[in-house]
Amino acid sequence: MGLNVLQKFGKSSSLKSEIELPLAPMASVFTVILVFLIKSAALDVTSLSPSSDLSLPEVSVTSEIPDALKIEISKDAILVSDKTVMTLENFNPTARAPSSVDSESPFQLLVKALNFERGESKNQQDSRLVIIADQQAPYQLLKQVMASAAKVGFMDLRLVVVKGGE
Amino acid sequence: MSLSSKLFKQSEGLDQDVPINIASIIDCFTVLITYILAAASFVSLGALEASIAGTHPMGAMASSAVVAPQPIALAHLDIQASNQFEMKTSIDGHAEKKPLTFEQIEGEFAAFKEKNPSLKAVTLSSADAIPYENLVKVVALIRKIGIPVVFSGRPDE
Repeated sequence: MGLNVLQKFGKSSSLKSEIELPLAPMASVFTVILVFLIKSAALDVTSLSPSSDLSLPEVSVTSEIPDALKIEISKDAILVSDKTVMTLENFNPTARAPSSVDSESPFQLLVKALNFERGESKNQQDSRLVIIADQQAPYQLLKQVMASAAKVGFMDLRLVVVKGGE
Repeated sequence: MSLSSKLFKQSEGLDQDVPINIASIIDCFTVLITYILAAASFVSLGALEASIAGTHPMGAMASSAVVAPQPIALAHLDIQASNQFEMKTSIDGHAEKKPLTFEQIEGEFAAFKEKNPSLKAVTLSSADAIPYENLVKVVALIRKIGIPVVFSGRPDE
């Protein structure tokens, strides 16, 4: 009896030592997940990274964001291709950029910056402009920005919004 | 037994004995997946299309592609300071004004477009204080019907 128990114990202990977690299928699953995540991340990249203090409006009807010149309007500044062109105080133009000439208005500087960026871009005939504006930005500021853009020849606007809502 | 066959047998035995350490690979993958998920932005961005009726020669060409030079039907939406809306239409020079609520915009413009297929775009103007959020919502409503929206390119309008 005692021998039987010992024999059984010996058997079960040897069984325990042989059982291994099947990690190979787990690794396969992880590989698939990783590939899928990397692929979807690569597809979603639009080289668009709005400032953290920017609150974008939310609408349901949208299209893709094109790869075009970007202008960002926040409470504190207007940025063209991530470079500050105009400083704002609660959406009102305040200080001029250090490089500006005294006679130049802030919106003339914006026109200059847009012209410069257009000259730098690969496709100089592209009339698309991506506007990333805070949802509280008043139309008064927006129309000044749009007028500046129109002067340079940016006629097709893409207003960046958060998909969803309604 | 020759030396070479001994070595072959030894190496064969080694091949069978050495297991691949998958546990560390899984650890690595778990960290990578966690990092990618944490870094991924779950806010999905999109864009709304609109145009500017401008003064630049190239812009004039671009805007003429959207707005016909002498359209038979014209439509304009004005967002007033009180957040009220006014629809201004013109068919062969016969102008009309109509106050609207936000809910009526889609229906009214859809009906106008149906009656006047020559309508190429809706021009949009607004009171200075109206926030961008409200503008975008109106643009989205009009785009939903399939009519392009044109903003005024003049700062004084």
